[in-house]
Amino acid sequence: MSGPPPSAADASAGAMPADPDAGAEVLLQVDSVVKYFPIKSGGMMSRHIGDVKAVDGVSLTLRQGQTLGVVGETGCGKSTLARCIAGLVPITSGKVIFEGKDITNLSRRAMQPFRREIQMIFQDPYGSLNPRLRVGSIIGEPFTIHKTATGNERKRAVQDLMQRVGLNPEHYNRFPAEFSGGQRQRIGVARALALRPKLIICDEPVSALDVSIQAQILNLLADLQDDFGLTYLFIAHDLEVVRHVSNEVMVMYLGRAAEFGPKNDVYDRSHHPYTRALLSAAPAADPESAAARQRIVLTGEVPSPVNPPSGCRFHPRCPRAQDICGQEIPPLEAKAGDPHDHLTACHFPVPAGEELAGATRAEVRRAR
Amino acid sequence: MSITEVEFQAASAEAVPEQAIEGKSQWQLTWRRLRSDRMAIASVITILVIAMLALLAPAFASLTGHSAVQQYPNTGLSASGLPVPPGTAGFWLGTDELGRDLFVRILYGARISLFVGLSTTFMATVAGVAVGLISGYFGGRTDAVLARCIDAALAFPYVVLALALAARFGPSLPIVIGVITFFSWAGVSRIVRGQTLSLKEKEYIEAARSLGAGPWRIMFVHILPNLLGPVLVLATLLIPSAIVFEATLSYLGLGIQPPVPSWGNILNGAQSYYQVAWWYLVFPAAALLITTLAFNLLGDGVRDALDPRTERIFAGQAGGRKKKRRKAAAADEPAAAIAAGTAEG
Amino acid sequence: MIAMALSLSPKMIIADEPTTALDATVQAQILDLLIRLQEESDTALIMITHDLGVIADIADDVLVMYAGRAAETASKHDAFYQPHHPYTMGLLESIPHSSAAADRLKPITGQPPSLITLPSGCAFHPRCAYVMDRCLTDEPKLEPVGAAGQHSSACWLPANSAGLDERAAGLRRNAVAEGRTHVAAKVAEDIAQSPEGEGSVVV
Repeated sequence: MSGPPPSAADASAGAMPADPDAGAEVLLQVDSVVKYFPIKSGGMMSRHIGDVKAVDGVSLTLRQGQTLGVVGETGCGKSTLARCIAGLVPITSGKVIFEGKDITNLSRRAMQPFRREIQMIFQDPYGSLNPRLRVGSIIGEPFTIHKTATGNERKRAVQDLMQRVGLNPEHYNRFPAEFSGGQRQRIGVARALALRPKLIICDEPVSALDVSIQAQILNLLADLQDDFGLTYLFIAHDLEVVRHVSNEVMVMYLGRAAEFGPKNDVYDRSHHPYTRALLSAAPAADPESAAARQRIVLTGEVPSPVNPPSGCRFHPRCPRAQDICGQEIPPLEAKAGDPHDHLTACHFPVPAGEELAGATRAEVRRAR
Repeated sequence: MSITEVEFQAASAEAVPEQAIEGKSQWQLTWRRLRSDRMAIASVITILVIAMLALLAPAFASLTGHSAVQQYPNTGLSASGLPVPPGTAGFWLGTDELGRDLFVRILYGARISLFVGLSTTFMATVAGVAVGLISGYFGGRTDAVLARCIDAALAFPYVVLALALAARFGPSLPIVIGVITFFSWAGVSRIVRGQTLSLKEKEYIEAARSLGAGPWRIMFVHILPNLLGPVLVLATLLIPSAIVFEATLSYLGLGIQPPVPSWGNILNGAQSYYQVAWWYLVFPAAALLITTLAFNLLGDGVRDALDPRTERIFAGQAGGRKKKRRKAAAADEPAAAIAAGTAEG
Repeated sequence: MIAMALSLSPKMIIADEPTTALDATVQAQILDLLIRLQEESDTALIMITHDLGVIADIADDVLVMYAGRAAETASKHDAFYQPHHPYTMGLLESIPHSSAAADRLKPITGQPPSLITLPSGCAFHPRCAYVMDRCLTDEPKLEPVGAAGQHSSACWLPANSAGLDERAAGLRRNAVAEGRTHVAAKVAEDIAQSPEGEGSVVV
């Protein structure tokens, strides 16, 4: 099955990333999605004085059964992107196409059938569950809203879900406060799974959990993906976790995609200087490699999305930036020698094998 | 066997220690705290006593042989035509200037006060919650309009309104109830609107929307239960203000008209006679004071029970309350105290 | 906040999860700052964190805690490459490793215990792959293990178990694919042969 045609509309988005696994159906297509949050001056006569450009032209394709990991730091727009896809936030421009149907900015009524197919798991196990509702009601709510099961049938379905995610079905009448963080996240997973969706958007589902509980939840998500044929859009800022769960990875910076591709390409053969810096920043849980790690230090702070830099958003902090970087937005495209599905948005990508200047901690110490 | 099942079994192997701590809902915990609050218990008992007395007013009327409106100039007035003191001739609390039994009148006045207090509070709360929820949740123009209505209602001069209505339609109980309800709903609304605005941003609301929940479901199934605590406190504190308002209106002659007794219009009569008949002023005033105080203290107790703050526990309030709480926290219910902490958190 | 902590030139800083909510690049900057300031003023630093990467980066010694008790104390090298306590090992094994091909992670089964009703004996025993009868009744104290005196562990497993060494070697190679059952069987054999070991081993 051939990939979708590249979008002509927005040059900043570049080519539409396509998937090497040509056999699977395309489940989700995101086409140059832009989301600006207007800033108004306060008061009765408020004026529109600017925008928070949270997502500024992102495209992606997600095939059935795959997991796309989205990484980036705070402010890169990944959570906003998730909410755009889930229809929780109206999109400023662009399209979201699910199973061939355009679901951009649908009315609540029109969106209702799609809510059964697209679900979300949230980051905060303490905030994402209503503390006044019992767990049975929380997990059973999808059934109630979509009128697919009532009474005892619903209770049975909920208890079955609880069992599937590793919770004790007898705790049906308990409140969220009586569960640990990991268990609450399981409740969230059960709730998302209730109507057997096709796509689950996981917004940092393990970031708030301890290391060993993280592993339990990640295993659970992997099992459920196998059992139910789920497709995941997995958002996180922990690079190791994303590498573990994803088939493909997208690195976002300030509302745009910096790099996109199969995970091993992005992790081992990345081109974008930001990707390199990000990969070098987080130490592995291994003292020897932590000591030997060449950390690329980025100067400056992440700029505000209200007034993002012109051209390539990363250019003020990039060690390789030249004049053109501040003038022209680099297109997201495959660089020479790369497979067609590894895309980088950079005018001066770092060739595979070349290192970006960095220093180990010991070297930094000696230099002082 | 998948790992998830193995994990589940490992978890249920710990089921015994888990079950030892039975989790409780917010209301169970609140109730438990309320039960141990002496002041709140005293208030509840007082209110119940007053309610009993009010309910049994007809029984007392037949017991004393005096009705609330009937004048008894022969037995109820002294030789010089003045009210008789308490204990004279079967008048337990004395009489008023027309020889009417003060005690029975006070009891019937209690009926009015409680009825007005409870009914206006109920209606104001329902209306206030509805408007506050809608205004806070929908935002935008709906909120702009409704918020202005709330502001207007709060700024309104109510006594003037009562005066105008009384002048037009003649003073009566329905007018009193209408004016008081109209006066009270806006305060509830403003608080509910504020709470709704902040609750609306919670992640579980977003989760509900992602499931496909519509605005009404979100407002009444998700937001409302989280509002009930503050609303309950507010309602409990509205009752005494409604009672006092009714008394005020009746005192001014805009509410219940004599001979039907209301604490307000009794006090109106008392202001001319208290120098010769202290009981005429003291007893209805005491009734009003005790009732209002009881509801106010109950409201405080409910607020504390719903949302205990550690600083208050140790900063020292009514001595009995502090000691009782410390004992409860330390000795018999450590689990509940911690569960309370997690439930509230 | 760091400036506030340092304004009095303390001899010791206690940093309670200072980088937990932060992105990797910001975390790196914060850690750099803490280390530089520590070096300049010769300040001791107690860093509380659940991020093993942070520990691997800047720690000299490690104290592993479980259910309010010390499970293991060791130098950084020993903690990561020669862990003794099954909880420490469990933590290290549950992290996704970039070089591991395994589809599944190896979490520690079960949940952390409620501090109100701790399990009898060793608090970790309901979740431990090497639990013995003794673990249910006797709470182990911190005892020295391994060669040098720096490394202590609160566990009834024998200190120099060959099976544990092998498992530690497995960790070092990031060979997470090596089955737990294989190693546990080796440990069981080892325990059965040692004079201290008694009772059954649950795998």
